[in-house]
Amino acid sequence: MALVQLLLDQHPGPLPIKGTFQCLSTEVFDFFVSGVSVRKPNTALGVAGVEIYITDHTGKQVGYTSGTIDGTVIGGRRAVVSQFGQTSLNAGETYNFEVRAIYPECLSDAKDFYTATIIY
Amino acid sequence: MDIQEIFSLQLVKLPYTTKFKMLSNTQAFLYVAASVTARNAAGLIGVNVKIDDTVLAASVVYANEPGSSRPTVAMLVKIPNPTIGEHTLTLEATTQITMVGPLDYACGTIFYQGASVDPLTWRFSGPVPKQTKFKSLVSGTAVLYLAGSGYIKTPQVCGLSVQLDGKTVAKTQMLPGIGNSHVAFPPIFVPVQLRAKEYDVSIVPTIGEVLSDEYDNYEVGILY
Repeated sequence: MALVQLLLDQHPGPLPIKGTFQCLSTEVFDFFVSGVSVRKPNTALGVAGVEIYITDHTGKQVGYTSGTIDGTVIGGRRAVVSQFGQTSLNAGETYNFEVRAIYPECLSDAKDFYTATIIY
Repeated sequence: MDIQEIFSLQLVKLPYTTKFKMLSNTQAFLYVAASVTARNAAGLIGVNVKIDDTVLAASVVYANEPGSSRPTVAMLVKIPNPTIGEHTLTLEATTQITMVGPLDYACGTIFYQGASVDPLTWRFSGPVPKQTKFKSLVSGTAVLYLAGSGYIKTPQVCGLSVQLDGKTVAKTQMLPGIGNSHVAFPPIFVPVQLRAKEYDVSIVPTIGEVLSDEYDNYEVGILY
């Protein structure tokens, strides 16, 4: 059977969203964040997206992945194309995570929803 | 669960081809997410996904606005006859109006499964709701995957949910920017508790205003 941890379950924005989790295994795990993104009106054309940082108790980054999409305002929010990230941490230790927009020009509000999952 | 990232990139042209090495002969499932752009007309756009020149599936979405980049409905498909060693994966345009713009992306991941389980991959076209049967051979936690598309007349928060025996176990939702324009909802992987039994699996809109038709596509997976 799978060992799965749900960090965010359709959590509404705005970004950033911060939290903690206790790592369940010393094995390599994969993690994934999904949601929508778009750039704010009157900003330059470009990429939009969502990223998740995992940090240890010292603040050191120990995991990262993201989802990206064309941030063109026309058409509004779009689901990001999310890739899995991979890392290994210490079982039993508590880590921090932060889901945030990949650029300050990206828009998010309470009508955006984010899901983040760890699969061991 | 063993998971292998095989590619992640900004798609600058189609077709795109890459080599990868399968790590096991056990049953395996390929996840592909992408965005593409409609060239000059409304219609289905997407990528056909091939392994060793065999088309496994197409990851598509209906684009109502020509020239606009759209995420496709990310797909999860069983890899036939997985064998350890080097293989070729190709993404090619599904339709003539499919092209890649300056900010289109794609990524692919393989999930390896043990021999003693019977994962679910349920792919179909709309409209929804729709129901099927699934028999779990084991009890415990599994990973449920949900992706799909739809549209709504007046933009409001909407989405899709998966129900097992009538109980909602997964939900994805967003606020579409335009009315009457198909959107791919964000794909999700979430834990689900199963017993060794047969389930009625349903995919239903989160609100009654969500519309869908034969141009909408859906993916539900259960992996162990």
